[in-house]
Amino acid sequence: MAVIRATDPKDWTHVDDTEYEAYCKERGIDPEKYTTMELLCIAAARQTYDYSFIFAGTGLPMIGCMMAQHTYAPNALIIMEAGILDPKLIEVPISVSEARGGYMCSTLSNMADTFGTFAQRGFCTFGMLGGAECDKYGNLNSTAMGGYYSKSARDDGKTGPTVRFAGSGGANNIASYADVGLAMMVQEKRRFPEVNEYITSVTGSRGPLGTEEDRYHKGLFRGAGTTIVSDLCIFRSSPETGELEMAEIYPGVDEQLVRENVSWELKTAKDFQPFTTPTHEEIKIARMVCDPNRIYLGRKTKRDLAAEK
Amino acid sequence: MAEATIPTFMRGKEKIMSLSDAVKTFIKPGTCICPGGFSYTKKPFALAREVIRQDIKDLFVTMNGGASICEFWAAAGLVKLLDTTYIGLEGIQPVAYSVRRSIQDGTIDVEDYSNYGYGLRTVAGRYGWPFAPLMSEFGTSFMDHDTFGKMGLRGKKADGSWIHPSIAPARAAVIEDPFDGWGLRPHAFEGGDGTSNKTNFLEQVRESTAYTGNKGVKVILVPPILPEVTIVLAQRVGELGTTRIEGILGPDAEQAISAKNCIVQTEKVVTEEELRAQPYSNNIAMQYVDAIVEVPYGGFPGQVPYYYDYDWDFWRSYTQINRKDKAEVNAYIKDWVMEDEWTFLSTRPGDGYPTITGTSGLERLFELRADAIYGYKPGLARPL
Amino acid sequence: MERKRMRARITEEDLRLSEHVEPKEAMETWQKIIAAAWDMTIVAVAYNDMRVPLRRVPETLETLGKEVPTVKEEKTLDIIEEEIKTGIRHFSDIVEKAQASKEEMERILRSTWNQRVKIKT
Repeated sequence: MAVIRATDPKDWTHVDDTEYEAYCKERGIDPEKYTTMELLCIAAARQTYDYSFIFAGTGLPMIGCMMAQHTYAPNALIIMEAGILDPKLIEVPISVSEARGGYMCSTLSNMADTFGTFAQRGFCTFGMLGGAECDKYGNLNSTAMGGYYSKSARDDGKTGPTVRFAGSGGANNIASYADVGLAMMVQEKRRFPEVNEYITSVTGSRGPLGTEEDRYHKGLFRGAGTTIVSDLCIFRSSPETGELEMAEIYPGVDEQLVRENVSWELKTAKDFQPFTTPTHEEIKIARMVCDPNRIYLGRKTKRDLAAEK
Repeated sequence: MAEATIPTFMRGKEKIMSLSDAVKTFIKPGTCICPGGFSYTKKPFALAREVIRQDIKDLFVTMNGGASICEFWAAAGLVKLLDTTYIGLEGIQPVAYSVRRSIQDGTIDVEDYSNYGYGLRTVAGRYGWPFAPLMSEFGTSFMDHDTFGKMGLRGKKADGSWIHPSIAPARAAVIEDPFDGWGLRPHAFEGGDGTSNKTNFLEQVRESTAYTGNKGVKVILVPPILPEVTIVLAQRVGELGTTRIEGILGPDAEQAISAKNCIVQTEKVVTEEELRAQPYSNNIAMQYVDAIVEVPYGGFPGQVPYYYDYDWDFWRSYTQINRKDKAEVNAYIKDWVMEDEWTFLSTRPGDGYPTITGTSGLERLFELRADAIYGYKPGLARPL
Repeated sequence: MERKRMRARITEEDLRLSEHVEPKEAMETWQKIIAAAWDMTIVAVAYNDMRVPLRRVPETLETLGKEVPTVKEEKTLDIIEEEIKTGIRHFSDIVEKAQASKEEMERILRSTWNQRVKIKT
């Protein structure tokens, strides 16, 4: 495993085994067994590679990009939209603007500047995002369900959307400019509809490739596909059609379960392969180096909670 | 020669005001207000709390960079219109619950942009441009949803004045790039492109007839933001208004300069000389600052880089509080702000939520002191 | 003499470029002079930004010092102690490095004086 840059003051990835065991014992977690969130974080980090530019959105991508920096992409440049380029992440940030995310970064500027100077100018390999809904062509909805409009702009007599989400933030822009959209999501059937009612971010082809509905015909001049890392499998967009296909499946997950949890007829990718089980080393780094407080890793999905019962 | 009258924005030391006077002078019911900072960082919470104390209603909040202030205002029932990009509390609560509930139940009407779209609007506002060019948001639902338009808030009245002075006549417009995408990268330079991006679909884009009906590279134009008041937190402000922000700038300088009036909440008012020794580190020129309010620790429960960290424990509990019944949350927030800021700061930190040390008031605030080298408090306990 | 020369018209002779001249000092010498001069400048520029606050610190500390005898709570004393200890940590680092730099500067001054005598004799 790659070691973080030699110029750094300490070897971040070294974790003492006795220390690790004591930590696990204190927290009551199995040192060998990974949780859903740990798996998501490890899977996302594995999608990245060294010397790339990772533009990380808020939420799960915070832990995803930190994991990438400490494992597979130590020399990747992380960008955070509030103005951060290439920070050294010692403690996991909870916001794309906070001082933990800005430590030892190359430049610290403002929001318009980050998107302009880095993303628009062409320094954005991976657009790491979270989302509430994802459809067959990799469109994310992080805005609203049950009608977008609020009361005064609606015609149907309702007081507002059924569920209002956070909105785009930088997600739309990150998805528009990145070579590869990389979204981290929890997979449930209702979160994976065939067509999103509201498109916040176009991470993939948007519609069938080569038609008037694809991202290029709508005016987006970059982006060649998307990878969606869910808690059951990894989806990749087909280079021919743009449709999301099952590309990797996690150990112990039944293919049927994946298919049951999307709303379209899911195809299997040509280069389909099983996902290599997270290693002891990866789990250790996720826990001890990235998120010892378990701010992100301690979260549980609905499936986790159901399994516990 | 006519006698020179001193314009208000050059009033010098008269700009230094008490918290309540600054809010009373510049913020009225219905004011279009733009809160600065980003999520938990450099949010002018003292000013936000004073707005709650004075119960200034029907606010039109225009913002990007996280909803923490808007969350408090929505909880207090003060927000009517919202022009925004993101209403989450990031890592602590994916969607700020009071804002979300108010949009769902019809108390707040909201218009959405993307962050870069909004960021460019602040740039246009700062430079006095009529619009700024945006190359994302294509192919999304932003393009065909316009809340303020449907509400009839855009455009002019019969007498020729704007229906709403802070709402542009259109949400956005699409034009064909008169330069045919020449300025976009990857670009055909001899010997390389000077970018890391490997994808370039300009040829397909040139064939597209989307939005305008004609073939060509499209550009979205977004209008500037023109808020009536921007509130900003800066670590230091000179007595005439020269402002220095340390750590991440976020959207602060653009938003402050875009506004008609700007109130700066600061940790310390210093002499102009102190900041002018290194003028290139200053972020807001003096004439854009209309009021200066000195409130040390006024960024609590947020983080002010190099001074103090956020109060994790407060936010952890608050996300439980804001999911309670709406009336209960409203009562909580009005009670929480207390009668004035000093009483607030000596009582509320560490009050009404569990912390490891159990300290309260200023003692709690000093516990949150940041390390001057890191900008935050290394090892701050952040239990989930 | 010099002034008179600068006031005079610029002649064609003045504008003529000289032939290659063998440098009198080694390139390494110039590089070392530049390195030291630049480093002192970097610090001087940074110092310029803290000149005013640094002037203020003894005053605010004096005011705090006079307040200490009125403190009622032991916890408040803990906070004061903690802040002052942090201050001492940063300031002694500054003092230490500044002192070491100053000593080196004085050593160089003595050394240049010795060298000057040597060159003359």
